[in-house]
Amino acid sequence: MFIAILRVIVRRLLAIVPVFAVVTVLVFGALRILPVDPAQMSLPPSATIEQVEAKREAMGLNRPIWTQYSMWAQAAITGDLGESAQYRTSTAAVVLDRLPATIELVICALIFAVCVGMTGGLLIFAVRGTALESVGLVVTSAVMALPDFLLALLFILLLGVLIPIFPVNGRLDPGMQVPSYTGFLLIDAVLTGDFRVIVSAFEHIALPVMALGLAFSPTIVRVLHASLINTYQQSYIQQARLRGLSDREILFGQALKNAIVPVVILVGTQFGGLFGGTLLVEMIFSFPGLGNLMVKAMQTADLSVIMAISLIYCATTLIFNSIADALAYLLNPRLRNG
Amino acid sequence: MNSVDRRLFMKLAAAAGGTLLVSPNFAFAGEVDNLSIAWTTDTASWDPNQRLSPDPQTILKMVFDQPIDMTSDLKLTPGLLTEWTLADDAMSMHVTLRDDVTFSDGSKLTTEDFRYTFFERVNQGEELDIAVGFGTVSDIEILSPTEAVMQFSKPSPIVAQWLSFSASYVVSKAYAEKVGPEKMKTSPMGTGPYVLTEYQRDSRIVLTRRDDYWGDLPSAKQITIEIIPDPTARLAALESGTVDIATELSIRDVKRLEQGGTLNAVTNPIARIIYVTIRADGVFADRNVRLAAHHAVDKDLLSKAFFGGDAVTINQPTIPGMPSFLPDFHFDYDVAKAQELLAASGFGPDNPVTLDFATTNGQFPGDYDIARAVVTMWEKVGIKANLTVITESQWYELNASGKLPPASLFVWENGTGDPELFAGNMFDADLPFATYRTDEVTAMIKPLLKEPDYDTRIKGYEEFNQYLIEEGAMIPLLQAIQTIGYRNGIEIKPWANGLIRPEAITIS
Repeated sequence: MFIAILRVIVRRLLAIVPVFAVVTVLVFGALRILPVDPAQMSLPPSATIEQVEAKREAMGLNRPIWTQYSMWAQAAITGDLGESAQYRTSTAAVVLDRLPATIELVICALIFAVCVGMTGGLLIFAVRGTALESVGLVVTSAVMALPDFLLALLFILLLGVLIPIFPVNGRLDPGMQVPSYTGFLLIDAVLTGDFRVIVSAFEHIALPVMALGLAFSPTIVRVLHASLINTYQQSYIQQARLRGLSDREILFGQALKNAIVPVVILVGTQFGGLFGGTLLVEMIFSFPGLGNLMVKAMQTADLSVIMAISLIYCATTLIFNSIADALAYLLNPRLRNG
Repeated sequence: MNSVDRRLFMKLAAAAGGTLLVSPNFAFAGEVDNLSIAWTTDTASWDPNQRLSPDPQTILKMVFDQPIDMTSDLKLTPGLLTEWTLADDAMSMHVTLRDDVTFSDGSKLTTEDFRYTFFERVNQGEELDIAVGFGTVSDIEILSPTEAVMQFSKPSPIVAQWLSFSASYVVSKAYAEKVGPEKMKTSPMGTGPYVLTEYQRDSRIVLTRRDDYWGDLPSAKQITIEIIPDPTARLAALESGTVDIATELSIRDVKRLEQGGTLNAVTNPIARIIYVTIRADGVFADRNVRLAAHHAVDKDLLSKAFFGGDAVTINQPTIPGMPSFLPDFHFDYDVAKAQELLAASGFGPDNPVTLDFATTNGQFPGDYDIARAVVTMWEKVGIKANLTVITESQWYELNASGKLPPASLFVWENGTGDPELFAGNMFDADLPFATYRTDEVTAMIKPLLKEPDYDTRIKGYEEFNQYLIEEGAMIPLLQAIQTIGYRNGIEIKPWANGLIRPEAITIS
């Protein structure tokens, strides 16, 4: 089975390559259509038209777009993503500097969303057929209607100002520093072994994680609830009842294994959306990740940074789709047999 | 005199210890261990000569010093230079440096550093915005470690103002050559009152006071700058006690804080104007249409609607109190006059003149809403404007290619205290900012740019400002305001260039 799963992952990863290439072409083309001049952007505001033209020539912007793309692609393969107009330094360095923070945020948000979503889905399913089920579904709909950035602002006002439990910005208390072992602050904080630092790191990430994760969790609740109801109509559940298994044994031993497959696929396919959700959430919480960087890059038309982050979003979505496929394959014997 | 016996001494010591436990920020009277400021944006680079943009200057000025400083009302005052004397022909300037200044690495500041910053760096081909003001420096002759003469390739009457403006910070030649241009962007080392001790890009900056600083020591031993781009989050940080000071709050929140409680707020008119750019061609080739567009705008209403009435309305390309400002010059809001002018050119509410109007959205507070209000005001008199949203960078691109719409909402910052950086640069056809380009404007402005006599120059700008408005070359709207919220116990003296100066913060 392991080899079969590995085969699925490899096959999906290979399929990613052409998709990824097409996306690079689309993003590159879209950014070149924008009425923004990267040459002008990378020069001081006093630059004359002649200086801008010389810079444009040096950057290859006067060449046909496919030549420009070819130049970009060749450089990108070697890790050179160009120079950020805003920071006037290597784009790869700027982006890679922020990537770990966003990965930490998204993974924590995902764990939070899955925990809340699974718990919520199971609780609402447990009270099915009662008024509480309707209440639960209404609450889920209400949370679903709140976008992540609004949840972020609500959490700031509620848990940052009215009941100041969590800090509302930054990643650590002032004065605290964590040596960078892995580049991931939470892991590095744990590696210090300093309880104050660990608590501070988790306190600071709490509100962004809750905002991002809670916005995603209602979908999990809904899908799991619907999937469980569907699963309970299957004959093998009736047979399990006839065999005298308890409700708990049926739910956790029989039904959940199958009912969870749509949830796994949902989480995998929506992971990219969670990544995209970091844009505003990171900005609101001054979280130094890719989302914050992307907003600034869009405000300043920093094309090479926009391109790099777009491709990271794209690659993340594709990779997690593949992982979701593999997990679904692992969990569902029918897929393996098919 | 009462003597202090052992028992009394123990009581006092216990009281002092208790105070320290209760209030860890307690230090000497007027001093604080840490002061936190919520700021809107991080500096794109720690190389202080690289960017002219106004927002990071507050941060950079804590680490670096400028040759010439500014008072809160933008008058020149000695900084690293004790004296500066511009030659009568404005082709050279003799400068004298202080002899007691050290960089934070302990090395002494000399004219070698001054020459390196304002001449050598600019000529090495590094992409530095400082070249805007010092591109005309042809050499800096070093007379001694504290004396030098700046030479210019053409008359440079406002070089002293440039030495006090954005990005004009002296860097260490030895350090810059040792670490190279890339490290300069990430590891600052200056002569300023603070050194960078902790940095999380786009999140937090921690600066620690240098007790060997040559100037007056600021009251905060440490300054923590929290980068919080969202105004609601900045207010939340202030209200939750996370920060002591928060800038650029919404007017509504400022009004609320001004009513008292544990927090205070202030609105500070700054050297930044909001105006509508006009092109000299297309629909605006007709002077009647240009003037009608100006008469139709109710600036008081804009101030009241978007700045709670705190933004000063302006009728000239400068701000009150700045040299070249004409206190007696007025341009009336007059709908009837606007309609009359348009009628003379064959237009009216039933037969409107149509034009495109560009604005940014979010570039500065209220930009898009102000533009929409102007569109509505124009519509009443017979000007139909199609509003389009562009970014600031698009504005430059469109203007450079001659495709900028006839009108656009723009903001202009001038922290020099000199009119050259208002009307001078806004209408110099050789610069990328000019939208209203005519031979007459060029003929008026070119002599002013090289006029060495200060009084003659200011008089010239007064006439030029009046000409621009009477010709309808622009529509000045408002002087922008900076909003600052702060906790009780703090007093802030605002600066007209929008900088938050640590030495201007007093703590009771």
